[in-house]
Amino acid sequence: MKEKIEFFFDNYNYEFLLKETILIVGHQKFLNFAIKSIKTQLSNDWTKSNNLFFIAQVDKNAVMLSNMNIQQNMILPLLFHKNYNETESQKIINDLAELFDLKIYVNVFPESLNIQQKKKYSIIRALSLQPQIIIIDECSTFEQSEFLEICKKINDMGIVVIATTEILTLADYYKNIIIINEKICSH
Amino acid sequence: MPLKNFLKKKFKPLEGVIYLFFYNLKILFSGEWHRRKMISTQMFKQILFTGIDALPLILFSAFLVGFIVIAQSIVYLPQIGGNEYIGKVLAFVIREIGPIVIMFIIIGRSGNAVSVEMANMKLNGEIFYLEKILKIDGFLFLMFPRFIGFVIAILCLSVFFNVFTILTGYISALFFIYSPIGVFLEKLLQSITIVDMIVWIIKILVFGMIISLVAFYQGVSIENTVREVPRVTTRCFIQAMTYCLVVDAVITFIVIFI
Repeated sequence: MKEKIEFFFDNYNYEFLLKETILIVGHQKFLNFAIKSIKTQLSNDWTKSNNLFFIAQVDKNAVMLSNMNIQQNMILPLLFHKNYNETESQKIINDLAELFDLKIYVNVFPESLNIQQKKKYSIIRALSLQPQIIIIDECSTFEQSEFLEICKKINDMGIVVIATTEILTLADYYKNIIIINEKICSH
Repeated sequence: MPLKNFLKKKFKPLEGVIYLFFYNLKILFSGEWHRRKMISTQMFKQILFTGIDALPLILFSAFLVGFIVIAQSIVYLPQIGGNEYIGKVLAFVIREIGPIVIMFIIIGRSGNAVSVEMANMKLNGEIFYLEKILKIDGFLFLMFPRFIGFVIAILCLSVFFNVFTILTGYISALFFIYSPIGVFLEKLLQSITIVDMIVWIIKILVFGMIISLVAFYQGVSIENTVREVPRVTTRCFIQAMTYCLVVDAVITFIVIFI
C-alpha cells in the first residue's frame, strides 16, 4: 500500500490544483505516507533554493516551544531561515494574526491556548514563510465552517491547502478529495 | 548529523558526551552561530541563568569557604610555625577547592535544570517540531548556546568565587588575629604561580563543558514517560560529578608529575 500511495502522489498533477483546497481522507498511517510522498515529490527542503514548490506544514498537535511566547515562537523560523530582523518578523506575524483575528494572544505562552488557537497560530507561522503549498495535518480539530473560511483566506493568497483527516464525512465539504483506504488511492 | 539521528543512534553516555563535544567545536568553528542573532540571544540567556542568577549562592559559598579554610589558616598556621604556608593554602583554595565547590553548585542548580528542560522538550515533541517542522538544527539552537553559556558563566563565577573567598577569609581572620593586608597579599602573590592559574582555568573550563554536555545528553536521552524525568536528573548529577572529579584527578596527577 505504501508503494501505491507513493506512486499516486508522485504522478499527481499539483499545478492543476493551484489556489484550491485538497482534502485527503484515510487512516492516519496512510496519511503519514501521503504527506511524506507529497513532500518528497515536491521537495520540502525550503532552506534550499532549487525547490519545485515551497511547502510549509502544520503538524497535527500544533506543538510550540513552551519556553517562548507565541510571538517568539512565530518569528523563530523567519529569523532563522529568512534573515529578517525582529521588527520585520513581528510585523509579518502581527499582520497575519490580525487576518485570523488572533492578535490579542501574541504575547501569551502556548500552554494558555487551546488546540484550535494553537493550530491557527501554526498556520500563521507556516504562512509567514510564504509557501506555495501548506499541509495541515488533521483538520478535524476545527469546526468545518471555520476551517473552510481559513482555507478560503489561504487560497485567496494564492496558496494551495492540503488538509488531511481520518473522518470520511468531512469529505462533503470539499471539491477536491483524495481517499486512501486499504486497497485504493483515488481522486 | 541532526539531533533526531543522534537520538536514534543510542550512544553510550561517554560516547554521546564526546560526540557532542566535537559537534559543538564544529559549530563553533563553522561560524554558523555567529550569523544568527537568535543563537547569541539564547547564549546570553544561559549566561544570565547559570552565571548572574547563581552569583548570590556562589558568593555565600565563597564566604563560608573563606571563613572555614583561609581564616583558620591565618589564625592557626602561625601558632604551629607554619606562617610561610598561608600562601600555599590560598593557592590550594584557588586551584582545587574553588572549582570543585562551583562544580557542585552548577551541576545541582543549572545542570539539572537543563536536563529537565531538555527532557520535557523531548517528551512534549518540541525537539521533533524544531527539527522536522521548523527545520532548525537542534544542536545549533538548543545545545550550542548552553554549552558556550555554561563555559563563560562558570569562568566568571570562578573569578568572583576566588576573589570573594580570599577577601572574606582575610576579613574574618581579622576578628581573631591582626595580620597586615600588605603581608597577606604579598604571601598570596608569592605563592600563586602561573601554573596554578593555568590549572585553575583549564579545570573550570573543562568542568563547564562537561556539565553542559552531560546535562544536555541526559535530557535528550529520555525515552518515554514523565516518570523518567527524576531519573534523568539523578543520572545527570552523578555522571557530571564523576566525569568532573575524574578529570580533576587526571589534571592534578599531570601537574604533580610534571
